[in-house]
Amino acid sequence: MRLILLFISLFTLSFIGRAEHSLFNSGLDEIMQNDFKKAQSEFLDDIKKQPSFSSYYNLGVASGSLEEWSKAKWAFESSLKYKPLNGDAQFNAKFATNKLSQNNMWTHPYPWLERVVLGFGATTWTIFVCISSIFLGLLIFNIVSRRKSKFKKWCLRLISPAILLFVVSFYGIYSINKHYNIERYGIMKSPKTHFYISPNGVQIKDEIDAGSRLRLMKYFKDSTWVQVKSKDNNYLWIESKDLFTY
Amino acid sequence: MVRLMLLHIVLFFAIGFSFGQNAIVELEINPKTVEKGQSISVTIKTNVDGQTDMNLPDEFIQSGAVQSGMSSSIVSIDGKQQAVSFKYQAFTGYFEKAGSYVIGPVVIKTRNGEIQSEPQTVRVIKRQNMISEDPGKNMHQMIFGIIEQSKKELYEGEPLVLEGKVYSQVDVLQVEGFSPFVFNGPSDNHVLAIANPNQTNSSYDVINGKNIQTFKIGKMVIFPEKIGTYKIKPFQSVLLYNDPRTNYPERVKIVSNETTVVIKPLPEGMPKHFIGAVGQFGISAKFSNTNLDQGKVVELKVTVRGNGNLHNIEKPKIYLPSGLAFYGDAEIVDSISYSTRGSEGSKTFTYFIQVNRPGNIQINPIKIAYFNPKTAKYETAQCKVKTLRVISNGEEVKEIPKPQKEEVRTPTMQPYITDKIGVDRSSSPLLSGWQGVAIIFSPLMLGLFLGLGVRIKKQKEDASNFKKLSTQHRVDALSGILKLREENNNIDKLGELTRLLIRFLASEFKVDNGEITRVFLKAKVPDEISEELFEKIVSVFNDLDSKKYGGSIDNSDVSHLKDEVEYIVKSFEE
Repeated sequence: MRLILLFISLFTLSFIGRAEHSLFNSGLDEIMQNDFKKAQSEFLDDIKKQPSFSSYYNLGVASGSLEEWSKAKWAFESSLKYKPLNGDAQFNAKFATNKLSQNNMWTHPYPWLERVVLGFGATTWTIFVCISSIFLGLLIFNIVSRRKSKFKKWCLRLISPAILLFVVSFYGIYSINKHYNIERYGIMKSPKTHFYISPNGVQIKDEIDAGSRLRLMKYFKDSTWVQVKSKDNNYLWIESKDLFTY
Repeated sequence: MVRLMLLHIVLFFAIGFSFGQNAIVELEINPKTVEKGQSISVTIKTNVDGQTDMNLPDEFIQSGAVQSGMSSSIVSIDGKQQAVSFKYQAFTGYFEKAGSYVIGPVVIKTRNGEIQSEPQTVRVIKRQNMISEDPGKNMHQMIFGIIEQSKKELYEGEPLVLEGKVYSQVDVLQVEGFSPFVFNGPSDNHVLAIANPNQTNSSYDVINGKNIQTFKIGKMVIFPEKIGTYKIKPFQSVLLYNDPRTNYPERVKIVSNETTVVIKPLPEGMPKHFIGAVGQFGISAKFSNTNLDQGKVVELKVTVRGNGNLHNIEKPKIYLPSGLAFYGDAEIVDSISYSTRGSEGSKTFTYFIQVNRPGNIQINPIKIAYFNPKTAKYETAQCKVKTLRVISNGEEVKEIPKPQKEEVRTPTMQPYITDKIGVDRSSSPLLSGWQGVAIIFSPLMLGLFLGLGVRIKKQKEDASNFKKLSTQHRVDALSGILKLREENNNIDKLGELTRLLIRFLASEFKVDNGEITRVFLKAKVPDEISEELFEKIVSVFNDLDSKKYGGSIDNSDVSHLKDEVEYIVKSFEE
């Protein structure tokens, strides 16, 4: 009975995995046949199920091929969320930005410190934080218990690097969690998007550069409205449906 | 007197200058490629006196008198420009048979010896067949001109030969004016007639059974530069003729016919090695030196010979093997003359090649491709070059970086990727939120709590041991007092009693025996001992001292002191 259950669960898991992979492959097939509209749809479905660098990147390529540069910029910059150091994605994000606006100088959405932290990967930081945490736990135990041992002497010698490693790796895990779980930026879906002083308030007549990246500040009313900070540090309100966010 | 002296000085310098000139003998032939019967001009230039001797081929037919005179020109001697005065002799002539003929050298025998010029070669080719309109249709005119052309249709780059032919039914005495025909399009024109157009050689043609005087005028080779259909506008001439009606010379202006020519594009399938040449060409190549050291630069001279549009050809493309690099741009030296076959002669391209690796290096055969209008096909010519033998200098010579041309291309996106990478692994909630913080800090908290537990446990153990120890020294003190009762000697009793009390107090306060003083004990009041107990201890110490040092110790009763010490010990128990 157990064997049967094990077999069923393994079969289901493999089927789910294959289904996700097949969406990506279908998108690839469509892009190779120059059916970029279908490719867009396939990659969007794949992103909903299992977001990945490749899915976002290829969505960007498909959108760019359809001259949908806002979507392409969003997709390329979203792909950088998963591989912030990838050169091709950076090039294409810059390319899409230039297509949207010649005046806009593209910059990487994530600061260099965050890129370095992400470059090490979550697994590395988890290992580091576990090692340093256990080490510090032993140290605290020895200090608090006032036991005399050779180990305590070494613990005291290594306390500074251990605390540093713990703090850094803790920050690494915190940054990675924040990076993946919080949406920070938005791209206008259309250059004609309207901005408001307040939700449902007075419309702002100032034109916002189509290629600019808006920083999300807060959501309002079941996330129907979102407050963004423009490049000029102006706080504006926009309807969520008019914005690609990542 | 002064004038005479100045004249002498001037003459002295003039003689010195004339003797200072290098002896020059030059033979000039123009043009060097001619058609059968076409005149060539032979000029001998020299600045020395002597007997002149010259080799002329038997086939050469002199057609005019020898002209001589003095002239001066700027010549280059040993790389320096110098003004040279010379005498010249010139005459014209022609050849009736096709072939190559060597004229010269010119030898001048002087008192100081013989001086001779370089010989010159004249190439005599067949007459170019010319196409013209039928002159028979113009016989109603007394004098008329017709444009003759080598071809009606030709490929771009191919030369077009034009010539005017004048037909006259009267005796033409003189050509007084000539305006040449004009090619109505972009072209590169070269006049082939060497003589004055006013001096022409006439002959007689039979047209419609009538003897007609004819002469040719204004021969020209044209290289049309663009494809299309172009008009050749008529030539005009003013002629002096003998009017048979008046027997007086009269002038007439004639305007020739107008003609057209079609310039066709070169056919498709242009070979890789095509150098833009149209005609017939050959190639030869030679290294300046085949044995050289690594890192040195060697010259490769590539010479393209032939006829057609030689003046417009591009340099042959040379593909160098690894370790060889071009050093600067190629130098071009040409030796070109214009004939009815177009521009002909040679064009030499000197490539400078840096050799950066040792060993025997063989360059691939050098190829050129050209279009032959006779066969209407692209043809190839190639030549081999000798192997370079390069001696190593033991150094690694860096290749001179080639100036790379900026590639202009439309920027595009980077292509799609086929591997699914960078999959989101952040969905595990294990290390996110409060639970993540709890997990991360759990070893620290565990260490803290376990440490505290161990510490408390240890403290309890210590307290228990301390209690045991404090009870023990009291027991020891009381048992010591009991033993004193058995002592008979008062001195020993008092000494032992003092030691017991001090030891007990030292143990009680966890200090050394020496530290138990009245001041020390006063400091313990009232936290650790009461004022009453302190007074008691001090009075016991005073009594003990007075007994020990008062002198009446043997007869004294010290039992009350033992009781008081016992009372003090028991007071601490409480």
